[in-house]
Amino acid sequence: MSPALLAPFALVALAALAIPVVIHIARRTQTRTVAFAALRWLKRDPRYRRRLRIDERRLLAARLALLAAIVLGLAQPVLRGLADDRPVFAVAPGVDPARLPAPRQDNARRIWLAPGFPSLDNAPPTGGEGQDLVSLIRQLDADLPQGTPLELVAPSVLDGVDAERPRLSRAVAWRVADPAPASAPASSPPPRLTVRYAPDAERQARFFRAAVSAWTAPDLRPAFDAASTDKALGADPGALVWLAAGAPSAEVVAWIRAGGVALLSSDAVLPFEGEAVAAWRDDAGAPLAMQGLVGKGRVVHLTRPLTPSAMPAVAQADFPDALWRLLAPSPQPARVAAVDHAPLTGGRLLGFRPWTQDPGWLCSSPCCSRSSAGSPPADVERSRHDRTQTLAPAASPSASERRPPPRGPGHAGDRPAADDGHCASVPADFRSGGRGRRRRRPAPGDFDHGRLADPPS
Amino acid sequence: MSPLDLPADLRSRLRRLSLTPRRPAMLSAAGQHDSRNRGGGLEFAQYRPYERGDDLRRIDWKLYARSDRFFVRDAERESPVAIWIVLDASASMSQADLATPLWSRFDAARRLAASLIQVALQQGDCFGLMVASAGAPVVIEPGAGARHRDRLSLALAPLQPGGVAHWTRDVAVLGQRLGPSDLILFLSDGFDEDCVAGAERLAASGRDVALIQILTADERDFPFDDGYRFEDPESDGHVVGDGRALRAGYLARMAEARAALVARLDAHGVRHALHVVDEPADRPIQALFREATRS
Repeated sequence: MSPALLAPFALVALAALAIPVVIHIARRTQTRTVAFAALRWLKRDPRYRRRLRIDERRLLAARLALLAAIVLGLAQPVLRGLADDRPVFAVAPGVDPARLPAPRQDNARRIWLAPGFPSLDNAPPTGGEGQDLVSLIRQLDADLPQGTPLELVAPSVLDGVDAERPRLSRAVAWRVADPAPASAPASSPPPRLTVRYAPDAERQARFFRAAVSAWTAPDLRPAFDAASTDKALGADPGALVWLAAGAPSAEVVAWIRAGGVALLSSDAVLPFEGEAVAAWRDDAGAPLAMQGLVGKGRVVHLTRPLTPSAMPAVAQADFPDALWRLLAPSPQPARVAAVDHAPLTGGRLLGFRPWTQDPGWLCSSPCCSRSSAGSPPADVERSRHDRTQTLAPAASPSASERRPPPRGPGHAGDRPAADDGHCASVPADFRSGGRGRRRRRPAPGDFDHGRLADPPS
Repeated sequence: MSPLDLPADLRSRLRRLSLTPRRPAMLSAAGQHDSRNRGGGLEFAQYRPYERGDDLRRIDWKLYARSDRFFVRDAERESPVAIWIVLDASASMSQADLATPLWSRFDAARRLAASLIQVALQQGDCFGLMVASAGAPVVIEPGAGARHRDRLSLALAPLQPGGVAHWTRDVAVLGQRLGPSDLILFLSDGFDEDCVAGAERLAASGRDVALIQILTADERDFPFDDGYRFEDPESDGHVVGDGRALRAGYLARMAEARAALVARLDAHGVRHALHVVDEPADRPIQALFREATRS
């Protein structure tokens, strides 16, 4: 660990320290004038040599210290060697420690890919399954010094990943611990359905009976419970279909608030809490059902009476599928084989050093010019694009209905050709907002090459 | 704090003082000083009602004819001794100390003049005033009484020192008005050669002359600890220097000059005293007339 200056030429400004000294000396010679009639006996002693005396030394010291601090700040002091630049061998928590591959470098720092990055000698961190592994990888990449080799060991299957492979600032050694192919995710069983109807709506329950029958395998009994509204809900009702005018009973509302999923007929009254979005549209695009939250539960509210004339969709062949998607939407495709999700290189160097972005009137040192040249505009542009990609899966599930469904992670490789198609959902100001402050001094020839340049992968 | 309002303690101390001419009394009379007057009055002072014992010749019969009452003419008895206060009002008198910028040398001189007037009033002497300044000299002829004191106070109060006093001219003006046994008191800083020469010339012509040199405390102590620009108020000379460096040389030269002045005044028969502005005003009077009081 050794202190150093990024812009040592700024120390030339230390010459400004002479200013307060000169001020103090000059102000001292501005002596007070007194009338003195006995002047003829006042003679300056020729032997006396005037010494340089400075008054108000504490004020002078404070001024000098302030100036020196400013100059030192301009010189950008750094501590070299503060960071640990050993190679890093990071292991995701899902990997069995007994079956770890050996790190390629012997002196590697061995850590878990978990919050805080504990050492590998510790026990495997618990509860690590819910952590966003890719986020941790990005954090580790941002924390590490530039040029530190990074070796990552991931489980064979990654869950909850984004639609694009992570893009890091360095090339990493991506190793998959358990190369066994992951089993296909089990298909979820059809939801069980509980229908409560008012006496006049008993006929409408047949649509749901038919749908449940369509879901169920031929040799099984349909999980279907239809009764009048005065019958209480079962212990595990599954999804509830409420076909009655007016507000549902208090028991039903409490069940929904506790986390239940309910489909209400159009004449039922249960106001959403928060925003409601269209969850089901007919061929013309008109909304057939609105979806929103009530408490912790999810409510799908039909917009039309449940008759074939008002809502022809209930009589069509794909109604069971539509109902299934409404009541038990399939999860977002966020699972990928780790082999296919190796991080890309060329991400922006995330070491955040805002002072090196200053106009270089004092940054004449090679260190400074290198650091400003190390972030070409292509990287900046691309990282902003990464952000829009990352934001998209995090939106509410209903928003995904309007969007084209996210494609597989392998799609990201050929992204620059489809650049405009991806950015179409991004607001225009978001795309153009950063361009003005992207670079204070555009070098000749690099105008807007970032969006068109090929990624240096 | 007006310099003409004497504090009570100073007033009480002044009551024990007296101004005595150096020359012995030539004639003996009942007054404090010798008188050449043979009774009667030369100058009318006031009427007062007749009392038993008054000289019948002093009754104003014309007034009796008008008012049918007896009035006696009181005449002012002229004292042969007049006390002249010669006040220096040159620019150097306006110098004040750093510690007390509101109390200048001229204020001290005016207080000293008021004290002298007070003492002269106590002993019934006439007192006059001459102010030597850059302009025409202010001359107030000697007179006695409280009213004359007020007249002098009225003349002293608005004075502002300034410029260079014309001592040669003013001493000549004064010399024309002096009586043979008048007591002349110079109140000056004594830095002006013409002032000292004038006092010597008056003393050489046989007058009783005294000089009270008034110094400021800064001139006595030289307490300057810093760099200053010392300017002579009466010329454009100046000295820039550090007080600590100048002090020793200044004090030595000042003491030397003071000794030389004392020797010179003694040689010419001019009585002298030193007054520093932070001292009470009765001290120089006491010092000046001490030997006369003792005798």
